Amino acid sequence: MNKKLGLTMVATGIVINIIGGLVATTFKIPIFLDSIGTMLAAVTLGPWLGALTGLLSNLFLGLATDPVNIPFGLVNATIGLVVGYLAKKRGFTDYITPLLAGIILAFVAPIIGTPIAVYLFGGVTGGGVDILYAILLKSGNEIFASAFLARIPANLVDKLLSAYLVMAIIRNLPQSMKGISKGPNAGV
Amino acid sequence: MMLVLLSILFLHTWSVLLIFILLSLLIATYLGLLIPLLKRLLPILYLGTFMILLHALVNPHNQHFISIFGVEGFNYGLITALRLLAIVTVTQIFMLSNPLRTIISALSWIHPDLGIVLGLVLSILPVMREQMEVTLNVQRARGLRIGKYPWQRMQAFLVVMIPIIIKSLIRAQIMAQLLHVRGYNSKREKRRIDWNYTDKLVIACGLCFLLILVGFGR
Repeated sequence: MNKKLGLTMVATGIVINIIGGLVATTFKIPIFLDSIGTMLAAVTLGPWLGALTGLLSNLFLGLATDPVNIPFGLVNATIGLVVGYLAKKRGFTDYITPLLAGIILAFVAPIIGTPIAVYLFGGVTGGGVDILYAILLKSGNEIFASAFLARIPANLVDKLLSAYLVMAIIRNLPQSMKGISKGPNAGV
Repeated sequence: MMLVLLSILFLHTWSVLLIFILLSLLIATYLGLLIPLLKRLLPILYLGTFMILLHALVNPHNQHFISIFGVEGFNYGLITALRLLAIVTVTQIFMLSNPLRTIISALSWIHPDLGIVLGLVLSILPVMREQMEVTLNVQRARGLRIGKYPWQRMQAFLVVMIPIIIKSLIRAQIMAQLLHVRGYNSKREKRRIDWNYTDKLVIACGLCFLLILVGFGR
């Protein structure tokens, strides 16, 4: 894939992330759905450009709207890295790789995001996850453990849905745009 | 700004954080940015209040209570909320005093491709938002109903997002062709940053501020 298409794909990935989050908020869906663009960039361009897409999405959102989005760029970048490396090893057009991506990210994303959320927000998000967080705190768990455990279910659903959506889109893209998602044996 | 933000990390008491926030509000008043700043801080104030309440009620370290509210949890919630407010106040003052385009063109000094990517995002975003509205109206005309259950809303999300994503990928291809036709080339000679007297003074003031607040934080 040539460099100019790579640049425009990164920009498009950032915009898809922003619009995905906006549509999810408009429809009052209790999960994030703001990493579809990161995953798309990661499976077509590779892990590092996917990570850059994730990082720049949060940077742009932070500069344009709410600056507290900026530190969570690390989480989005990690999503790009994990999905990109999975796509490089296995491709992203089968049904198992998105499942693997969703399960791995359900744990990795909270591992990166929880320290940021606890330090900046005391573990609070202002969303539905706070109910589970409060229950876990009340039952005697520490702040970090409660915030981490409360985020796993939402992340699992969010990342699985996003991964399968990206898989469905990638399967219908023309060959010239599939990038690394074709898998390591695509040229054989 | 980065030095000021770094200095906030060293503040651990609510009184120092409150003084910091009041100083920032004074600076905002001097710059004529107080009203827009307060409008942007309102959601953070709501979140901060919720944070304080939640930790006052259910923080596991609560040992001393006033009615149903734990003192330790209240203290933790208050310091976290004030720290968040301080960070957001400083960054919002920076963003209100520097337009987004200026910040993006400053970022292009790091790498020209970074500038072009962020510039493309600025130009695509309004188009995509309009696309989102059009797609939503079209799907509603075709019978889309956003139900009250989460799976119904998820289905509606997919029905709206898939056409948006496909169109944006097509747009990405067209934009790449346009970049090629217009001869975009990111190979430029490395830029040198020339520090003038004002730049050095601002950085020195930032470092002094950081050292003073580190001292206060102890």
